[in-house]
Amino acid sequence: MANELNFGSVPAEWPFPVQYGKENRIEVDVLVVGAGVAGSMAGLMAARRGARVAVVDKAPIDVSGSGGAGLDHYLGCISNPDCAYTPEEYMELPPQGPMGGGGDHRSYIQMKGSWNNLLELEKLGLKFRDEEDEFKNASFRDDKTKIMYAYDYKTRDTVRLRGGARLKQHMRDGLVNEPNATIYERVMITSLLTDGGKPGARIAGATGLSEETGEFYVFSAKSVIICTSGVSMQGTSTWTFNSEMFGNGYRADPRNTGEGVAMAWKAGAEFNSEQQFGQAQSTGPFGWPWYGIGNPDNTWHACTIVDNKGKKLPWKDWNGKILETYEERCMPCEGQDYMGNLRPQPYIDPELIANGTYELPLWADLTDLSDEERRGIWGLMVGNEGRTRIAIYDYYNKAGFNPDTDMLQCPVMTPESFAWPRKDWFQGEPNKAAFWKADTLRGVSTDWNQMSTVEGLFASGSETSQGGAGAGSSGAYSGHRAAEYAARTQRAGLDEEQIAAEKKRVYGPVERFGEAEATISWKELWMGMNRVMQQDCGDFRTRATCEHGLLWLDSIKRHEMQLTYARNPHELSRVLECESRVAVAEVYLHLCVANFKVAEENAGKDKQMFIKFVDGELVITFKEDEWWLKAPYAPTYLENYERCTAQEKEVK
Amino acid sequence: MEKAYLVPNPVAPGEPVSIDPEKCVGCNSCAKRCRVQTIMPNPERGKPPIVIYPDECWFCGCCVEACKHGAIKMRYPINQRVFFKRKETGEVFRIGGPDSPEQSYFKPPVG
Repeated sequence: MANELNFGSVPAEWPFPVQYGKENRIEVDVLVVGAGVAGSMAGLMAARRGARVAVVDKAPIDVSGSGGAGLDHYLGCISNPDCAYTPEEYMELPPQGPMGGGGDHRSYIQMKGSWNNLLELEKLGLKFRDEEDEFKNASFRDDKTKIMYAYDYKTRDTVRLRGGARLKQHMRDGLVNEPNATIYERVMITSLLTDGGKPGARIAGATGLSEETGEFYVFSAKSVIICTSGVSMQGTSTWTFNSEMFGNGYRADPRNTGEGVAMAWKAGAEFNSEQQFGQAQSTGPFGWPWYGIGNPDNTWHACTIVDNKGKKLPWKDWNGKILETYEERCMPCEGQDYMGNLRPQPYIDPELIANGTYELPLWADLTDLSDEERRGIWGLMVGNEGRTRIAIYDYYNKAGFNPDTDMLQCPVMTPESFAWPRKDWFQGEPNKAAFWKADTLRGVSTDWNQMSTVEGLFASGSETSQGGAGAGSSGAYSGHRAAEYAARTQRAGLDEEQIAAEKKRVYGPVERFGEAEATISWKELWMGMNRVMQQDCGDFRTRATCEHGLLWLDSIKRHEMQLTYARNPHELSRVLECESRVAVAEVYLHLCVANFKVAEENAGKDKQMFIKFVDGELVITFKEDEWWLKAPYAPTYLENYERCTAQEKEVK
Repeated sequence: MEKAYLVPNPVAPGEPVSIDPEKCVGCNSCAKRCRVQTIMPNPERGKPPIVIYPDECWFCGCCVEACKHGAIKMRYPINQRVFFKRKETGEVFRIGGPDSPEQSYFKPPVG
């Protein structure tokens, strides 16, 4: 062991001055909570509109966000000049993702602004085009614009980002150079402040905690934009305590613990739900390194797959037609307007695995691809995903893996897992373990201004189910709207009682440390709330089990959650993160109860359901399908968009 | 008789990142970029940072990239080390395994 201070073998003093309770009061027009892709763009745009902006993240901004330091492709970039459809046309297409038909105003906002957002990133220093002509002969590149596309080479709705792994660095530089913006890194926002301290009332600001010094922050703001990534990425950690193997199981990052969901829920904001059951997205604790195991989809689309004896798997399109050429794997099939998420995939009859015709493990064979395609997957995509540039590209290369000569192992799974169409391993990262299902919670509900039902509270990015690359345009849009709102609004007064109560909650764990009863670590709290979800909100659940789950969580909240301890600012921030997880679990359970209740009463058929929590009561409301195109809104996407962005154009 | 001590159990993974004290200049660039606080600055200025929360590493590799002195190595835990196969010879190797071939692919990422 190189350093005896490593792993706490010999305790070292906390390396920052510890100042629990010290208060910093900051007054701004717009507060951005979370500075991943959405939050960074929101902060930049709001500042450019003249608002005084604070951009707060619990991590360093150049590496923060669900994807870490950057990303390798911009999904659903429909407004790019080479795309086969306009965003307006795309909204009318059949719902097969990534952002097409079946989407809502938020999908449209994301698509509409996506190209402008890329141009903005280009100005900030992201050279995403193939200016050096490295991919001159590739069929995924446009010779004129030098833009490179992924997946569907005909529709060209997804742009590959050369140098995308440094995306967050460019964004941080942009924020630092913006005179109206101030960044606060390693500060975790813990709660929202509302007018008079009343849930559901107009936004007044937020509180925060430094995870370096333990200092307290009070932000007064006219508008707040939540960009903390939504529940979409938290499925696994809500159900599964990952023991100590944090890095492996997470599809998204371990700091994505649901502060945004927790604080918006407590502030009385309405949440958007679809009345259907979906799966909690994530690979679970049995996962493999992100994009670091052989598979034919997502980043690795459309890699040739061979069995253990070298026999190639045929590819099948969505019509079931066997594909002869590589090019066909990258084209929509007959009758398909666009590929979307219904991508062709290798076909293997589970029976043929069971009887030994095909032998596992399968292997991803990049060597079978053209130089451009191979380099496109390994160098351009794997090399530019923030999470994989070092962790896979650099690490595997150094470990001797050579994409020109070597094949990468696919996971061994049950034969059924490989069945056509689209079983487990084709959906991106392979996964060996079953995971719990969750009702689909689409995050904070927002209107055409991306404002929630709490006045002055905006949301962007995964928080409003606009994850991944679309977070950029979603964030930029919210930045504009929040700045406009701040410019026409009086500041709400801070409620000192609300601040004092939050301060008491935040520092409880450090004040309790040393008391005989304070025996609950942050990890124990986490695994405790997981058990509630595993038992009461698992694959089989009823209204009664979900209501029991709420009772159980409430019991934990009133007892064990009051016995947690923290020995330094790190542990303190972890306890608070686990309290956020508990809140996320509550939201899930309330959603399930609401769905059972609505089904029992046969209510809300063909309508969208919304839930919120006011004065200790769950409130369920419904809106007409496509409410975003009905009064008071205009009947088309374009009209609404132009109405909302009119002031933006005046400035330009 | 050798001495032994009462110490807490080790966590897993043990060493997701290792800092070479010979190469480290104590600039804390890695600690500044670690978003999970797996690496923290040494309270003694100029000394190598401390790997204090290995159990929280999410293997983003940002510390490796931040280090201008090549002092940091990332190491996947055993359960994350997958196999690869050299197509022509049929030889199988494991990432980080005992018989790994020499690095033969040196192209930097695109952009």
